[in-house]
Amino acid sequence: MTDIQIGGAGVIVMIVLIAFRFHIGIAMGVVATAGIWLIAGSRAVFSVLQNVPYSFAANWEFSAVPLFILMGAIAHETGMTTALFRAARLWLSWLPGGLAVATNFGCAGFSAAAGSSVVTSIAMGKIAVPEMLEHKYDKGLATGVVAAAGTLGVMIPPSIPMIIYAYFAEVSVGAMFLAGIVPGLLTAILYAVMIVGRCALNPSLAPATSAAADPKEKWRALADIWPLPFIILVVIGSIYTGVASATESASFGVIAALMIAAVQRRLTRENMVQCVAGSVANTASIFFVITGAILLTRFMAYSDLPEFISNFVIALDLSPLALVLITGVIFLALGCILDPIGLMLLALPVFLPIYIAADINLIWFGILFIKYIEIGLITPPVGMNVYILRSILPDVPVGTIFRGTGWFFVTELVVLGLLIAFPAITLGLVEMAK
Amino acid sequence: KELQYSTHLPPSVAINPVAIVPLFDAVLAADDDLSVKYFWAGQLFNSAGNLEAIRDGVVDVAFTQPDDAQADFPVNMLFADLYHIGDDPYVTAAALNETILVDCPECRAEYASNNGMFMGSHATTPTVMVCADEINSMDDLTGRKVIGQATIANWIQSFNGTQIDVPPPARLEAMERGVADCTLISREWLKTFSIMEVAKTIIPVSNGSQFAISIATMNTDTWADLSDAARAAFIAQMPISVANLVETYVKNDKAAEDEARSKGIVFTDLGGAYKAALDAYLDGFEERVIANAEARGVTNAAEIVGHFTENLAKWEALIAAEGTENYADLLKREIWDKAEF
Amino acid sequence: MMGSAVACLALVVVTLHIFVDTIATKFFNAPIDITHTAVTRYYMVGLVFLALANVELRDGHIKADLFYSVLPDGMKRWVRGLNLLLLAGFTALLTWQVLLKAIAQTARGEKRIVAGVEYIYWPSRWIAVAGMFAFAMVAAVKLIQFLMRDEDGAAEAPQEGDQ
Ligand code: NA
Ligand code: NA
Repeated sequence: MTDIQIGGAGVIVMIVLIAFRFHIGIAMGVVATAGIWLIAGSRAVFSVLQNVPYSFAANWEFSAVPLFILMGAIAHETGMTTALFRAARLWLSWLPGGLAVATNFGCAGFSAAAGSSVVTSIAMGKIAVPEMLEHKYDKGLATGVVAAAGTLGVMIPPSIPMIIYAYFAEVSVGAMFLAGIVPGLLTAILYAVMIVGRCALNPSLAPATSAAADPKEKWRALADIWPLPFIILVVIGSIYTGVASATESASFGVIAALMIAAVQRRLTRENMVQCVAGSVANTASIFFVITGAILLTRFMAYSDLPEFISNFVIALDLSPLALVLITGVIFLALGCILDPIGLMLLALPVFLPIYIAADINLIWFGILFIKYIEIGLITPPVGMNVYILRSILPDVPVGTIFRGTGWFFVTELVVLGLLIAFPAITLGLVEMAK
Repeated sequence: KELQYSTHLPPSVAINPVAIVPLFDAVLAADDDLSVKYFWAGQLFNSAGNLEAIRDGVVDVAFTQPDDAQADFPVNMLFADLYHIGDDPYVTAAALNETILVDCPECRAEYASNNGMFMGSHATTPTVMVCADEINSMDDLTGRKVIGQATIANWIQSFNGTQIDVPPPARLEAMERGVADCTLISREWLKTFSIMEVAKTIIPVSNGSQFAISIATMNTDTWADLSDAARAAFIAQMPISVANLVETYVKNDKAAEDEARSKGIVFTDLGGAYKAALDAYLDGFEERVIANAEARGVTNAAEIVGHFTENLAKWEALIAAEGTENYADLLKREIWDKAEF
Repeated sequence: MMGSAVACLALVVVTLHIFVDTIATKFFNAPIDITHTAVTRYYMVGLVFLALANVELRDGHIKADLFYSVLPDGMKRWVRGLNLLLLAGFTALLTWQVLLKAIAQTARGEKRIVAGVEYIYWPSRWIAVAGMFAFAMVAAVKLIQFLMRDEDGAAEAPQEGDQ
C-alpha cells in the first residue's frame, strides 16, 4: 500500500468507528497511531504520542476553555441566564424562534470578544441551550444554532485562524480582520432569516411562548436581566480596553459571575461544586477529542494525502473561478474529517502557491478559506463544535445536533455563493480603509 | 531514502525558500537515491517538538532552538544570553558559526548528546524598539509593556518596563488593543507581521539580535548513512544558504524601513538617550552572562564567550576589508572548510 | 475520584491565579512571574489529565451514534467489546509513552530559565502519567467486566441512542 492509500483507508476506518459509537477521540487516535506506524514506523508514532497530548494540555490558549465553561455554568446554575431568557421570551414572543434568533445574535456579539469558535460555542452553549430546551425548543434547533453561530467566533474579529492565515499568506492581519466583519454579520443575518422562516413554517420547532404580554410584567422582567449582559460586557470590555487577553478575560467573567451570584444570595456550596466538577469533566472530554484530532493531522501530514490532492488540482489547469470552486469543494470535504487548525496546517502550505500563481486576491480567498474551515466544525463525522456541545449537554445525542446544523450548513452555502459572486462584500471595508 | 525536514515555520518565511529548499536541492542533485519531504508550520511537531524528534530519530533534519530545551543546552544557551552583542548580521552569523563549528567542542557535544549535529545558522538583523505611541524620551518609555523574548526581560526591567511574550503573528493585535505598548523586532517584521499598521515611533538603535538557532539540525544517524557526495553537497551549500539568508533579511529590513519612513512613522533615537541607557545597562553584561552560565554548570563559559568576541572582532575586520560580495566564499573558507562533521 | 477532586481544585486555583495575576500586572505593574509556568505546566495538565479517568467512569467521553442503535443486539455486543478493547489498548499505549517521556524528562531535569529565574517543568510530566494510568485502569476494568459479562449496562443508557 502507498502512503496515500494508507491515508485514505485510515479515513474510511475512522468514519466507520465513529459511526458505530466508538469514543471519537479513540477512533481518531487509534487510526492515526496505526497509520503513522505503518507509514513511518514505531519510533515516529511513539514520538508523536509522547509529544501531542501533553503539549496540547500544557498550553496557555487552551486554558480559556475551562474558564469559559465555568463562567457559563455559574451563570446558568445561579439563574442569571433564566432571567435574561425570560425577558427575551416575553419581548420576542411575536418572533418565530425568538430565543434562537437572540442566541444567534448573542453568539455574534460574543464573537467580537472571542477569537475562537470553540470558546464562543462553549460560552454561549452553556448559557443559551439549557434555556431553549426548557422552553421546549426542538433539540436540533437549540443546539444547532449554537454550533453554527459559534463559527462566527472566527469570522467576526478577533480571530485566531485569521492571524494564522495572515502569517501563512503574508497578508495584513488588520486587513483580514476588516474583511471578516461584513461576511460575519451577513452570516448572522441570514441565519436569523433562516431560523424565523423555518419556525414560521413549522411552529413545533419553537413553541410560541404564550406570553400574555402584561406590559407591567414585561418591564419587570427587563429589570432582572442585567447580570448576564454585565458579565459579557466585563469579558468584552476587558479585552477591548487591553486589560485582558481571552483567557484572562474569562477569569474576569468567572469572578464577575461569582460576585453577582453572591450578591443575589444564589451562591450555594452545592451548586458551586456542581459547576466546577461539571466544567472539569467537560474540559477533559473536549481535550480527549481535540487530542485525537491533532493526532489525525499528524497522520495526514505523513500520508501525503493533501499534497496528492493539490497536485491533482494543479494538473487540471483551471481558471481562477473554477479553482476557487473546486478547491472549495475539496476544503469542505477535508473539513468533514479535520479540525480547522489541522486543515490549515495541512492545506495552506500546499494550496497557497496555487492561488498566488493564479493571482487570486489573498484577502478575499482568506475569508473564503476561513468560511470553509469553519463549516467543517459542523459537518460530520468530525464536527468539533458539535462534539463540544455534546460534551456540555450530555442529554442531546450527537446525531441530533448534526441534523440541527443541517439548515445552517445550507445557509452557509448561500453565504459562500454570495461571497464568491460579490468580492466587494469582503473587500469593501478593506478598500475603504486604504 | 527520503530525507524529512521539520520546522514550525510556514513555507513562506524567508529561511525556507532562501536557505532550506536550496540546501536540499543541492543534496538531492548530488545523490539520485535521495528525496525530500518537508513538514512545514508545525504539521508534525511544534518548535520544542522538533528537537525531540531529532533526538528520537523521527525526522532527519529540523529547525531547532536551544531555548526550547534549556536543560539540554546549557552551553549553547550562551548564544541566546549574548543577544545584546549581536548587531551586524553578517558579522554575528559568521562569528556564531565559527565559534560553534570550529572553536567550541562543548557546543557540538551538546547537539551530539541529543543525537543531532549543528550544521550552520544565520543571525537575525538587529532588533529595534517599535512603539504604538509617541515616544520622545526615556521617560516616555518608563513602565511600558514590551513584547519580546525572555532574553530581553532584564533590559526592559531596567527602565521599569514589563517584558511580555506574545507570538509574532499576534503582536499587531496585542499592540492595537493596548495589551502591549512596544515590541522589539527586526525591521522586517514591520511588514511580515503588519506591525507597521500600529507603529507610531521607531527607535533605530540596535538592541541585539537572535542567533541562538539552528536552521538545519542534522540527525546523527542520518548523517552517518548519507553518501559522501550528499554530505559534501550539504557542507558546500550551507555557507551559500546562510549568506543568501543574511542578505535577504538585510534587504527586507531596508525595504520595510523605507516603507515605514514613507508612511510617516517617526524614527528617533531620543537624542542619543536610548543608546546611552542601553550602554549603561550593558556595562558588565558579558561578565553577568558568564556568571549565569557558570551557575548552571558551564565550566568554561568565559573561554567560549572569549572565542565568540574574538570571532566578532575578526569578522568585523574581514567584512570591513573584503565587503559582503564574497560573503559565502569567506564563510566557506574560514568556517565550513575547517570544521569537522 | 481523588484525581477528579484534584482536577477540580486545579480549576479553582487556575481561575484565581489568572485573575490575581491580571489585576497585578495591569493595575499595579507587578506581574506574578510564575503564572505562565504554573498555569500551563501544572494547573492545566492537572485539570485535564487527572479528570480523564472519572469522565470515563461516568461514560462521559464523546461518542457519536449514527449507526450503532440500529444494529441487532448480538452485533452491538461485538461492537461494544471492540470499542472497549481499543480504548483499553490505546490508553495503555498512551500511559506507557507518557511514562517513558516522564522518565526521560526527569533524568534531564526539564526546566526553563526566564530572566535568571529557574522554573522546574519535569514534575508536571508525572501528573500526566498519573492521570493516564488511572484512565487506562478504568478502561481495563471495564474491559474485564465486559469479558466476564459482568457489566451493568450503564453505558447502554438510552440517552445514547439516536432517536
Ligand atoms: Na471573534
Ligand atoms: Na467536520
